[in-house]
Amino acid sequence: MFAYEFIASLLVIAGGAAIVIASGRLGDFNSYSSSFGPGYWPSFLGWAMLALGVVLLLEALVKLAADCRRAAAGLAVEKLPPPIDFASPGFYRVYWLILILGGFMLALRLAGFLAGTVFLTPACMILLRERRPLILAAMTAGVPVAVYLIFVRLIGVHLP
Amino acid sequence: MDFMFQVLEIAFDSRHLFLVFMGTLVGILVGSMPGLSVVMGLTLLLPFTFSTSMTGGIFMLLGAFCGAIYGGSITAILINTPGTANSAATCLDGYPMATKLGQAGRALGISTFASTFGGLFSSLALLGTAPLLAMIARNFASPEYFSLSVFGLTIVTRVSSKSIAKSLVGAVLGLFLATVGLDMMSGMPRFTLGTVYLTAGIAYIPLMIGVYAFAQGLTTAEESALGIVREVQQALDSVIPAWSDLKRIMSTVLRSSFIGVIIGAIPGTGGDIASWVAYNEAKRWSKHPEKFGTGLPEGVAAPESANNAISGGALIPLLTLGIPGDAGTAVMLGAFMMHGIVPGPMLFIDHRLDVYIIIAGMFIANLFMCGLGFAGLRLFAKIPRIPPALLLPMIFVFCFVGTYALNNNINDIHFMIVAGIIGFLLIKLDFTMPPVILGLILGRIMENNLSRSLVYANGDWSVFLTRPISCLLILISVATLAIPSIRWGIKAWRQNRGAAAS
Repeated sequence: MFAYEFIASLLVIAGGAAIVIASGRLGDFNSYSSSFGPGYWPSFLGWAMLALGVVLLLEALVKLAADCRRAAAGLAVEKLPPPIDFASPGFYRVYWLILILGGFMLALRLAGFLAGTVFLTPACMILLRERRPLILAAMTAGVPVAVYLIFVRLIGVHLP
Repeated sequence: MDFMFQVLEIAFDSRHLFLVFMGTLVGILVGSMPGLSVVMGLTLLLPFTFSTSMTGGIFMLLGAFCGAIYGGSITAILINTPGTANSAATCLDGYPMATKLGQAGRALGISTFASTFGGLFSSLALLGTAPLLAMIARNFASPEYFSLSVFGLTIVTRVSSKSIAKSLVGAVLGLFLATVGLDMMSGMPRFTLGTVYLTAGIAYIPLMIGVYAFAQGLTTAEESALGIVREVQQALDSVIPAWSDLKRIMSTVLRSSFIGVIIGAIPGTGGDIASWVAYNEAKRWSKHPEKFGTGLPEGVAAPESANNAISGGALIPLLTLGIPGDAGTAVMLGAFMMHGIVPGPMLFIDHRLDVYIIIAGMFIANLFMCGLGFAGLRLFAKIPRIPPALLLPMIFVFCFVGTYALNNNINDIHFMIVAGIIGFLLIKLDFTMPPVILGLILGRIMENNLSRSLVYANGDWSVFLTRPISCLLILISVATLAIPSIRWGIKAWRQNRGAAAS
């Protein structure tokens, strides 16, 4: 858990620093309107994010120190599961899903929205262990037809 | 009198009634599917409003807003899984009523009655208070608007996550995202990465579809791999509440509706908070608080009337100040803007007729919700059975079409996917999304009003403390953030002192 909190706080600090640096190039004062310049507010937000990153880091360190003290005293330390398990079966399914969505975007570019939907619908269903051919066929045909009727015919959206 | 008839004539136009009916139906369906949120329902319906009149589109969204909040209670009662976060408190007594006591129909009937009462009560509150508040808001200047935005952000950061620091990071991230695009004062592009797409700024509707609907799709896929199976509900008994039940819950419903309106009107809050506060108050006022959690009708009525009462309350800051109180009303703000209407104090002068038609729409939406609720409960009770394998492709296809239809731009889809994946990871790390969204929406309002205030005060920051309303809002904001830290410090000090003594 500490590792995730530590990395998250470092990312926030890095993000804040990047905003401060990028805002510095925009200028803090607008001489034409006598108001603050385009970089003033983002720079303020960057500093705020940096400070909050430090707070998150301190929170994580305080928690770690408390756990260490409890462990040294022979007391039970609460073990929380990691918030993200990149190697879990659930995450593998998410990776596959993102690949399928990539395939959908490719099909969208090459053959249009409805063709992309014909690929996306059964692919998602198979990924979620739907194996009944009739249901697969009905959804593969039904979803694009529904999209066409509702969005193209009824609402008048011009799908690519 | 003529004005009232004019309002009613437009509100009761058959096309408008059909649209509010469809919106309510879709709202209940979305709300009753665990994993689909109120905001998701609204964002997915948004493209439909392009082809309708402003009134028709807003009516449809109002119907969906009210319907989805109510729909969440169906699964909360039947399968102990709230359809939306607003109904989490309903599980506590609704589920035991349905399972241990075998009174699923009674629980659903009470929930439908309480939701309708809460919705109608909040519509009345909107009708009574919004014009008055708009009149007061006409005296608001830039410092008040800036302080009000700060207030909304601090409230949302305080209530949306266990860690205030993480919520604040989310809010600052949202505020930063709002700076992307052309600077209003100088016209200089900021953080656009040299792309034309970002010059117009970050479009918040694709971002919301990404972090609410798309990220939820990823979560559903992940959960399905873990084999999380939801129980199938039992048969329903009579769904019409008995007179004795109505008499029993009336005071609870009235009190909770009042709580819902007040909480809904505070920017940054929402139905989940209202329902928990109302549940706790119902318990506190009860003669038998120990029986809460065992299947008490008051335990169902309190959260349900409160969460539906936020619908009217949340429209108060939107219509009078132009500040959306939560993500749901932010979608409505987008719909207003697309139809060329800018909410705010002047709306009550420039578009007086439209405002009252919208308020009439709130009443109609709640009445449709009641009718659909009682008539279709047996059908809606079957919705949680839809397997994720059928639901997921539909969610994604609606996300893509909905995002594309906003501007006919494929880049919006790319942006939505990236936002969805980042949102999915951030939610896993306990960074909640409401502060990000509210930060993005309020970012421009805050920056412009800060700039104007400082120009007006010659760069003197004390301008926010010398004006009474602004000062009050800033003080409440500071207290909201500081009190939990002070409490934590006192608790830690006492613990240390106790440990040292022992």
